Amino acid sequence: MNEHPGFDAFVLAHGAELVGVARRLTMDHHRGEDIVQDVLARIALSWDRLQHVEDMRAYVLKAVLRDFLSWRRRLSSSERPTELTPDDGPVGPGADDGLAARDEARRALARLKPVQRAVLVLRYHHDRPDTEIAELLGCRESTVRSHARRALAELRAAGGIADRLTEGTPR
Amino acid sequence: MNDDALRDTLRDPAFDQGVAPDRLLAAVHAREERLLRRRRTAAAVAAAVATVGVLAGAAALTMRPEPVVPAAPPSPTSVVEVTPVPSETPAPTTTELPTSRTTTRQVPGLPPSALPQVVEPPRTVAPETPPAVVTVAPEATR
Repeated sequence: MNEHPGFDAFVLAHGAELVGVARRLTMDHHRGEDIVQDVLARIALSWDRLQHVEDMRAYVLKAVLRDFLSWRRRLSSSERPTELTPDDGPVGPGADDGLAARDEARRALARLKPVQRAVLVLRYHHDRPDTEIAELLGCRESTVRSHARRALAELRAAGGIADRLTEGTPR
Repeated sequence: MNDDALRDTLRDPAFDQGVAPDRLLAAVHAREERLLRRRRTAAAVAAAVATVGVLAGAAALTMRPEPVVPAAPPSPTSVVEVTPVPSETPAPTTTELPTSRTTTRQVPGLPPSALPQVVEPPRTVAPETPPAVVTVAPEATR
């Protein structure tokens, strides 16, 4: 089904990056790929109508974010990603010295509310300002700050993670 | 967890490993095809349901009984017209048998019919003597 050469080029150029973002949002490799495949499939069906979009990468990133936060996604995740198999390579964290610390940090992140995790990913991974995060999430800037403050408080309350994480994480 | 530690966790390169763009593209196309098939099925089902709904609505409209309009209550001031009560005797009916029309024609051999002759009765002559008066007793008449 190669009806949209522009779409194929877009997926080849930005697909891996989008999957990485979705994995950080979900803290789950399979769910991250599931979201990206779902969003890209829907965009492929309406690709001709999206030619007016100036920044397609930002558009798709926003769609991934919205899909991750949607009630439909939270209610059901019956769809499983296809084609991408675990033997493609190591999908978990690297087997370095900080393995345990990172795992613990990721578990603490996974326990956060989705919207709190989204705020942290956009702020600390993408270095987006709160204004832009508020626009992406469709809320006020003060709400973004509130989400970030509560998320950081919960991570601190997870206890002792910060020290071990700092020791085991390469700078 | 401080900001740097959080940043390092989120920037872990392990999140970006194991993604082959060409395989991702193939997976997206497979899902696109599935989604397209599902949308077509949903559209067909929606069209069928709409058709059934239209037909059912049309049938309900045609089979609906005429609405019963309540009669207006008679106003007390209005004049009530008394309709004549039909008599108990049935209407007169004709008991005569239908008359068949008959045509008459003259038989050629017969003489022409003459007008009926009227025989005048003989004239009565008044008697010259007056009739005797007979008186009858009342007992004899009973």
